[in-house]
Amino acid sequence: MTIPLIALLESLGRQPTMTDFDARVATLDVPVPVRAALIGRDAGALARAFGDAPTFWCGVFAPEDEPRPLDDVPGDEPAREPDERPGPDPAS
Amino acid sequence: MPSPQPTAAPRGQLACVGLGMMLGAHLTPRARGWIEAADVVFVVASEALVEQWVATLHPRVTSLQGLYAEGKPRQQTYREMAEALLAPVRTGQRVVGAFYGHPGVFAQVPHAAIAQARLEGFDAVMDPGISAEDCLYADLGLDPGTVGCAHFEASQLLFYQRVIDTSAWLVLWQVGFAGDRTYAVRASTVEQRQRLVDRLQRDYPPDHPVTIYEAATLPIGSPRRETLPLHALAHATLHMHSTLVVPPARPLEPERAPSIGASIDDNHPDMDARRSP
Repeated sequence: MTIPLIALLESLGRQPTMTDFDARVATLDVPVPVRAALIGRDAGALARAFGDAPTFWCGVFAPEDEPRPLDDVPGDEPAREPDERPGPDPAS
Repeated sequence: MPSPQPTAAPRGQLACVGLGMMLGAHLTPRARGWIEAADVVFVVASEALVEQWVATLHPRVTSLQGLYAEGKPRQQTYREMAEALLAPVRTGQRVVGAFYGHPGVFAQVPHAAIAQARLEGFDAVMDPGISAEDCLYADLGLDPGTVGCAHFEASQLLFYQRVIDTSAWLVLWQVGFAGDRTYAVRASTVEQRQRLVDRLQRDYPPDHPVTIYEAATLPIGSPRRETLPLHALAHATLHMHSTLVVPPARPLEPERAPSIGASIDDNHPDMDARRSP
């Protein structure tokens, strides 16, 4: 069922003014959720019909090649325990 | 009788091409040509359906998506992807790496693989594709030429000192995992995102409108264009492919330095026509 479906999607991708999309969907041998997603133009439901796990997207994070150390982010220090707090200045 | 000339070994070649963002809509004829002429095609796409579409274009298509894993360092994944591309090049095959969007935009693997292939003496090329940035300009009606447009990877605003020009558009990529330092998760926490909000609120008011943008990847879909106040961003639904668009917060200011302003005015060919009567 996948190849005719992909062919239809590819056609729609190349021809955004396609007028017989629903009629062509009706001719596809696809499960009910897939058909409903196509008729409802629900891209999320259609994608989920082909796998629940979302794909990873490539990422670029920093100029350097390797991850940065975990202790180099300002404002990310662990909270101090109460007994670690400095006491009153003995000179005062 | 002279001995026959030894047959030259086939020369390996690498082409990294873009698939564009939307299935069937954005593939350039040139990228399709690379794919059709390849001995083997590796693909990293945004949807399982998109990968299956690429599999209809060539009989030997292998997805690299399986090299990703929750909790696995991204840099390790990227090294493995580059090696997957290079191994058949070294055996003399014509290899295509097909990546969603533009293969050179927010994509480390194509750059690394092409550089390594060239270092080893192989031909390696990159062919552009339609990126999420291209779709963003069209879907949001944004022209970066009007007042300028700065692009940052979102986490870099937290990890580095970056200067934001609030008279220009600001586009933050990978906002869905801003602040994550493990490179191994799909999404950052509310606390990490709040740090991004706090950083932006150094330059923008809390109620400044921001737009979450996601390009459509299937032709039956629509782009996501959700505008909300900046202070609400940390609790918004964000994905790995979400992009944050921040409009200017102030108008352009005229250049006050006489030497700079005068030289621009005096040398600009259209300056006479631009001067007020």
